[in-house]
Amino acid sequence: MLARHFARRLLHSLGVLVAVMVFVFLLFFALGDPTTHILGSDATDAQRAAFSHSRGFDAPIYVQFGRFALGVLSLNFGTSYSSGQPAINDVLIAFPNTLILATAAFLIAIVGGILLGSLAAFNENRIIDRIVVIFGTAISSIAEFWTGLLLIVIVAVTWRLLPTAGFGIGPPLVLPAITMALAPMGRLAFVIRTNAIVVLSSPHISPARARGLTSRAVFVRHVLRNAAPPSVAIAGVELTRMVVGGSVVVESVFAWPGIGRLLVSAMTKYDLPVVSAAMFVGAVFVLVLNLILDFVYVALDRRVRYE
Amino acid sequence: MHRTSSQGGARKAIAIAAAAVTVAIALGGCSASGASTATSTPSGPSKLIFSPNTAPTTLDIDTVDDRSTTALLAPDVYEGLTHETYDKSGKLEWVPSLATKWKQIAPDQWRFTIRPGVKFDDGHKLTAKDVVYSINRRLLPSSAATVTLAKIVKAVQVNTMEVDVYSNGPDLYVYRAVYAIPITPYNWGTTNKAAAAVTADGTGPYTLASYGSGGDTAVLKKNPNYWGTPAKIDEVDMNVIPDAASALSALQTGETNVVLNLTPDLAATAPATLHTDSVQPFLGRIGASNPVFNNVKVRQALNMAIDQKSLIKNIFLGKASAAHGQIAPSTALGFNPNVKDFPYNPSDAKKLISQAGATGATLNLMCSKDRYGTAGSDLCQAIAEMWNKVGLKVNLEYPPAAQWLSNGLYASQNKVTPPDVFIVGSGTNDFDASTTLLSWLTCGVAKNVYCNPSLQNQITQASQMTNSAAREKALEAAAVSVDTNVPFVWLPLPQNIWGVSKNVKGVMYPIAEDVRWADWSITN
Repeated sequence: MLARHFARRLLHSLGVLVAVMVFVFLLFFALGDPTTHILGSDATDAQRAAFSHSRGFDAPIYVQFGRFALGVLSLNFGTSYSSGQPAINDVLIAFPNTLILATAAFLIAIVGGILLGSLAAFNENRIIDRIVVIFGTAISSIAEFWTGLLLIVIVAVTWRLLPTAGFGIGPPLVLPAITMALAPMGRLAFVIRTNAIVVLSSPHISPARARGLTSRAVFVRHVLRNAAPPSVAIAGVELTRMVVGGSVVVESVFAWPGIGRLLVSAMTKYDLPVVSAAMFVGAVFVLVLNLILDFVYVALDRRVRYE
Repeated sequence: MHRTSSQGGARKAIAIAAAAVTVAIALGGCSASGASTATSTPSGPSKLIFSPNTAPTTLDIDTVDDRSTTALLAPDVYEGLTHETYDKSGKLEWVPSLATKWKQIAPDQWRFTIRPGVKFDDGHKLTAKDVVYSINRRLLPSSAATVTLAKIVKAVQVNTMEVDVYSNGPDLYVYRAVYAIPITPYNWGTTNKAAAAVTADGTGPYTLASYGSGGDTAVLKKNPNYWGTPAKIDEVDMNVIPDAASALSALQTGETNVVLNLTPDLAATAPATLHTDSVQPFLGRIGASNPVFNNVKVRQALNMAIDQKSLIKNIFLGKASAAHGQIAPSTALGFNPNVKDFPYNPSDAKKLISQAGATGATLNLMCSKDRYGTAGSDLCQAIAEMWNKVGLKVNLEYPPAAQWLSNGLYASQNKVTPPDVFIVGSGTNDFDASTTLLSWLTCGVAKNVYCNPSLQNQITQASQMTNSAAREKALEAAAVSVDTNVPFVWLPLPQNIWGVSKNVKGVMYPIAEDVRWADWSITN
């Protein structure tokens, strides 16, 4: 049963990958000859024609697609139009950097979300609960771009506690990770709070306490365990957002050399090899993560079974 | 009661975890405050950090036309045969660099003598072979850098220390153009392409000590074996910050000393700025396919309706100057000081439009939303309003970049009706007005929408002249003819603006990325 489920999901994932790659190619083809974007507006007609021909941009669409498809199948996405280097190299350098940032942000979001959600649930309808709800709503509504700039102005420029930008595991990681974590933390806090309230008001909690369980044990064994399955689903979505979505903004604001920034830079330069390599790696990450989450979800909630 | 106890325990656990997170963040902060010094210390080596908004696409400099690559490497690591500087009167001049002398031996042929005794970082001596290789490699059709060389066609080795550079016609200024050709070792980027993309081997006042973080950081160290005057600053670091507001914050905290390419609004909040006129004025290309705008009176009216002073003051916040009715900046050959912008006179503009029977006519105006920043898009809003006031009905369009190019800039080539006015920043990179004028006004080329054979002929003839004075005079006359035929709406010439720390002194050039860090200084 498990093997069949795994095979079916794998086939489904391959289909998604093919669709993503075809979409990327068609989108770029619709945007026209990259020559005009690479050479700029002051290039002469002769220079543009020679450059376009030398790079094969003037070939018919089926030739270009064939070249592209063969490249993708062999995991060779070609050389970057701008740097002239293998596109996959640029992506494989940038992707781990994004994973570092997303992992740090994810941990902050998880810990913060659990803390805030639990705090609110244990204090349902009290002032702490209301503060948490207002705070959670605020942090999940503010755009990352704005949060990032606010943190830079307050923490880096005014207080001089952390650097405004940079790269490394340490001080430069703190502000971008918090920026990336805040909105997911707010959303996770709501999920945890709702589930925790349901658990705390369920009939099996009082007997558990009557058996002498400490509040910490109640929290861990009952509240967290029951809140875990829906939280895992939400957390998975949040991690996906961080890696393939949030990174685009946060990495630009904090000069973090990850895949989000690489993608923005490649898009502005109409660099199809780099964009397709980045999209491929991003899509593979999302599909693998979803596959893992499937198993984790089943492991956490015994009511769910593979079909 | 029992519930209260349970809540208290959970709160304690939560509080401990929260405290741990806070302490971790605070610890990170403490170590950071000491880590981000940007300026020199009294006893230590001096250091300057500059921040472009994009990482160099590659360090293989002769294959790209990339601002960040240029700002990092040329001419501080890779030098040209000449280099630009300002004379005592503030006028641009080109002085010897890797060439000690040069002479024009035919209208389309210049001979350069290579400086003896110059060594690359790897220790080998510079010869004509390296120079010829570098120039010809930059001219390969597959090189995006070829766009910077409109007229040079090839280089040929004469002997071990002499090189001939050929142009595609009479060219008085090859010695100027070659300043922008970085000289690399022979076969650089051919035998080991991957190494050339991430390393450098030049002759300049700095050597590349490191390059990392996906191109986000680089360190230049003073070259102890440099053949010329040593650099004033011991170390120059590049630290890319893509977001302009973040870069400005870094400038305020001292994490960086120079932020490249600030917009006028952000420049107002920088500790200090350096600025210089760019070589790319904004201009509106008027399409002649619409009979309404094929009328010279209407084209004059479009210019007379533009309040240049207001645009410079309110859109560019003073960081721009008038274009003086011509593409060429005042530093270029062919700039005619007697040509002035049309006087701002909306009532006369209205009359001219009325006389041409164009009152109420629709004007399709195409602009780029993001190519020229906020000032660029605001500029279009403002001029649309100015033209609406003189009786035209402006249809302002901000298409995506791809359509801006295909349906705007290259509309003629793509056989689509061009917009009536297309706003673009365009100028001359080789300091000769004819190159840019011909790229717009040669009938049938991709960017041309106004065909006037006699005007084209006049500019072409001027560009073929071999006598400097005669050529200058002919180009100045062509500037008058262009002004009379009005194929463009003249708009302000923006400045290049860099934000700098107050302790930094430096020189900027019309093409800002041609910065020579070796001439900059930084004090405590």
